[in-house]
Order: sequence, then structure tokens, then C-alpha cells
Amino acid sequence: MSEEGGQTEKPVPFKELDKRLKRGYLSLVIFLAVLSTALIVKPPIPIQAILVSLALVIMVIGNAKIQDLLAGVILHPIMAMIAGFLAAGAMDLAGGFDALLHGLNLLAGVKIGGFVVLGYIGVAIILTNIPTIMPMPCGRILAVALLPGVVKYGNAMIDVVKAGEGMWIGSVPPEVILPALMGAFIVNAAASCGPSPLGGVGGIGEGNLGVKIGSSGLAQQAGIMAATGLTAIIITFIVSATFA
Amino acid sequence: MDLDPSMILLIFMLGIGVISGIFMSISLGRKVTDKGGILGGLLVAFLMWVLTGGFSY
Repeated sequence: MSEEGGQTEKPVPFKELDKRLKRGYLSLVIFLAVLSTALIVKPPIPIQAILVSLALVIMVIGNAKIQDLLAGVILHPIMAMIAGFLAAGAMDLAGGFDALLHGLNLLAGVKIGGFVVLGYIGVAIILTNIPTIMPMPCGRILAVALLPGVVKYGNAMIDVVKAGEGMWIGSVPPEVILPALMGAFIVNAAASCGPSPLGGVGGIGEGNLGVKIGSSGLAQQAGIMAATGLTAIIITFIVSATFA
Repeated sequence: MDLDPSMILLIFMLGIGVISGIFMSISLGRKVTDKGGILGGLLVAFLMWVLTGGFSY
């Protein structure tokens, strides 16, 4: 519908629509009907399976080939999260997270001249800051790919503390470790697309301002690093208060 | 003494790294002076500076 000279053009009647638009209507109606039905009926199958089936049906209706589908895919950061989940699932199957935990434990125990260099705390700081050390265009990529590793490391730290190792000063309950670590990691990962030199929310802002891409990256990283520590300490205070 | 902008940024980031490391140490139940926390913060800040083009800033 368009307006020219104050007069509104009448929409073409449905019967006179071309085939492409008719197919479009049909696929739209099926799409909305299936999703509405899924919301009401709540079928015992995952929504992903329904969406994939729906995509196949719409492909048949639209007489589309797989190349057309790939060309029409809407690139959205959420897809990066899906890619991250796939990577995490593959890593889990391949034993990647056990290897990560093993490597982190080794790193925590590195000694130079009889002194532990990083210890569990130093390694925890590196682990929580990995998303911003390697900023991806979407924070979800590393967030979901590393989250199981962070949970495992947090639990390993709790075990170490409960076993009486390390310099535990007893100011907070050991159970605080996991939420503090997770919260810090999530804040770090969520903000990490800002300083990404590969393009991300920060890159979009810089592009709109007309400044060099990545020019604010280091400043953003400094802010995220500070916020990561701050988040951990706030979560510790809150969770400790609930334990008291 | 003249410092180029990349060096100023590095020093700034190392400072923030130490503060963040101390916060993390406290939040995980260690002392403020835990050297693992301070070293971890310094290492993280240095890695960020290197990997995000600190040398060519």
C-alpha cells in the first residue's frame, strides 16, 4: 500500500495476487498456526524439532532449495549462541571440559622457586576473563562454550576449600565460590562483544560515530575487567548474607 | 618522561587488572594481598592489551 498525492492505492485483491505472494501467505499462516498450536497444546517434543519441520514444510510450499534457504538466513547474534551450544556439546562429547579442568588444575599448581604462582584464584581470574581476552563478535559464543568448564572449575575449587587446602580465610562460605565465579563470568562474557575487533555491538557504535573500528576496544576491556571483579564481590556479599 | 598512548593504556589496564584481581580474591574468600589474585589480574590485563592491538594503538 502506498500513498501518492494524498490518495491511497487500493491493495490488490487476494485472487489477483501472484503465486509468490499466495505462497507467502500460506507459509505465514502455517507458521503462525503451528506456533500458536504449540503454545496452546504444549507438545511433548522440543520447539526446535517443530521449527525444523516447519522450515521444511515452508521450503516445500515456497519451492525453495537449500541454497535459497541459506541465502535467506537472517544473521543474528542468537545464531552465535546456537553455534556456541553446538561447540559446547561437541566439546563435552569429546571430553574437552575434563581436559580444560585438568589443564586449569595444572596451571593452578605451577610453582616457581617453591612458590605457587597463580593458584586457584589466579586461574579463576583468567578463566572468568577469557571472553574479554578473546572478544568474539557475540559474547554468547564463548559464554555457552565455556560455561560447563566454569561450573566444573567452581566445583573443583569448592572441593579444594572443603578439603582444607589453600589459604582459606573463612570469611565467606565455600558455597559462595560457584555463584561468584558464574556471575563474574556471565558479566564478562555478556559484555565481551563490545571490544571485539571482529565486529560486535562496540563495532556498530564506532561505525555509527565514524571512528576507527576497535578504537574504544581497550577502554571497554578495562571497564569490563573492573565490572567482572565488582560483580563477583557483590554476589559474594549477597549470597553470604543469605547463608548467614 | 614521555609515554606513548599505548604505554599509558597498558599502565591503566594493569591498574584496573590489579583492582579486579583483588575484588575477585576477596569475593572468593582470600586475602586482599593474595598474590594469585594480583598476578592473575596483571596477566589478564596484559593479555587483553596484547591481543586487542595494544602494540599498534
